Amino acid sequence: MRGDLIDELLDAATGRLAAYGFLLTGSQPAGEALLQDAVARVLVRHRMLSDPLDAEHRVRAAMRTIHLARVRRANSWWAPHAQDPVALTPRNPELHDQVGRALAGLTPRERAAVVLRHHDHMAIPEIAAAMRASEATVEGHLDHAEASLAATLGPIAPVVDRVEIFETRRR
Amino acid sequence: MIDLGTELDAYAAQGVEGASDRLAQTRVRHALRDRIAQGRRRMNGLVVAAVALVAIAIATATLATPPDTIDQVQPSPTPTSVADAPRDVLPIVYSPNYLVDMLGKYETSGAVSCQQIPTVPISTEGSPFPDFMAGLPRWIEINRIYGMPNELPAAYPIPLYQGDGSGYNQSVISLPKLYPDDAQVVVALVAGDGSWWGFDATYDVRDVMPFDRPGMYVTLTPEPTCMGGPRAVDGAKIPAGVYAARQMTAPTTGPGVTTIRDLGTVEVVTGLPSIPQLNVTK
Repeated sequence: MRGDLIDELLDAATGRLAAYGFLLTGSQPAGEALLQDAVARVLVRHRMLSDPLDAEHRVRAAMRTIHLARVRRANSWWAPHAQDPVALTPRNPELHDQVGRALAGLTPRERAAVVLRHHDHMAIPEIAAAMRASEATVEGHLDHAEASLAATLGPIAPVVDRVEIFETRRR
Repeated sequence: MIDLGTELDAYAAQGVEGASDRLAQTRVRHALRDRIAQGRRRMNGLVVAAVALVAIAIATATLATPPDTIDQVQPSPTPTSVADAPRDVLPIVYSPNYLVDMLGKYETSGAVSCQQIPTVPISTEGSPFPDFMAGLPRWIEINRIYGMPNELPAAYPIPLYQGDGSGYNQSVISLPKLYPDDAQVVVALVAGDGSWWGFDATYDVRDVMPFDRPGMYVTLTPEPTCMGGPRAVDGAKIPAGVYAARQMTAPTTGPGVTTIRDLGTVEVVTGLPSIPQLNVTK
């Protein structure tokens, strides 16, 4: 067991990763539970990891994967109303500001699509692959979510996909 | 125009208050290390089992196939019993493979008695059912069903999903929404010899558990009047083994469709592997 790596990773990156978990789930405890699940998954599968930064990237990706899998499962027979907005309770930090309230009005899938697009700057095809949905479905989630967020927050700047440009010398 | 990415960053910063302190607690780190160690042990077992299976398969094929009949394909034997070989490696609690899938269903607007659950004709029409949120894990610990003197009461909750319940509280209320008056959920575990055991199943979100994390749980209560077959007599406890699992949801009174789902196989294991400090074989 690489106990040192766990400590190094969590000491250095708990804040960033817990914030990401909170952003994905909309709940502090759920975000932290997601973080722990992801750490366990990564360190079980990748025993030779030694670089905390590498581990952080993998944990972040695992958090995304685990959360999206749960969102898929939650939209199910057993939870037919799971797409209702997150319950707003007095302890819920989402009440504290406009962004939280606006996000709380999204379905879990819309919320995930928004985080992946606007926070992680993923391209639509990447999001579609991560969510195991078609690009049209992802665009539908984003259109609806952005319209809903814009109603509360005002116009939202579009995400500009980053394109890598390589300059080569003509022979 | 606002940059939503910047707004999300600022918003997310609110959600980490105290997170570093909580995750720095010795108890939390210790639990995480235990979890990783347990996962690695299971992965080791999986690798060993896979290597052994490959070796056995190669050896069997080598011994069973004379060189001059290599092109003659023999039909593979069809399994005749669901309760034959237990799995060597159990999926880790809460892992993606931890819960069963739904393989088929039977629906009727009429009543189905408990005794009929193991035998109703299941249809796979409409399968796969990717949106089914499974109501059972792939393995169930006997001591969570029957309890353990002075340690664990009978019908102790079995973990399904972890979390604070905010995502799952909807599922708790879904049954009343499906069945406006009242509903019951029954799980039947059917052995290869036709013996079967029925359990009342209740689903709820719990946040204070002495041995488990907060999350959604299913509680299986043995139903002495809902069992049958050669071995399930006089209230006999279900033995360890692999069983075909069926789940019935039905209105207790009032309108509603009765549905019986085929959930594939579930393994009943002895002891409490998920709670090592209480893991004793009874």
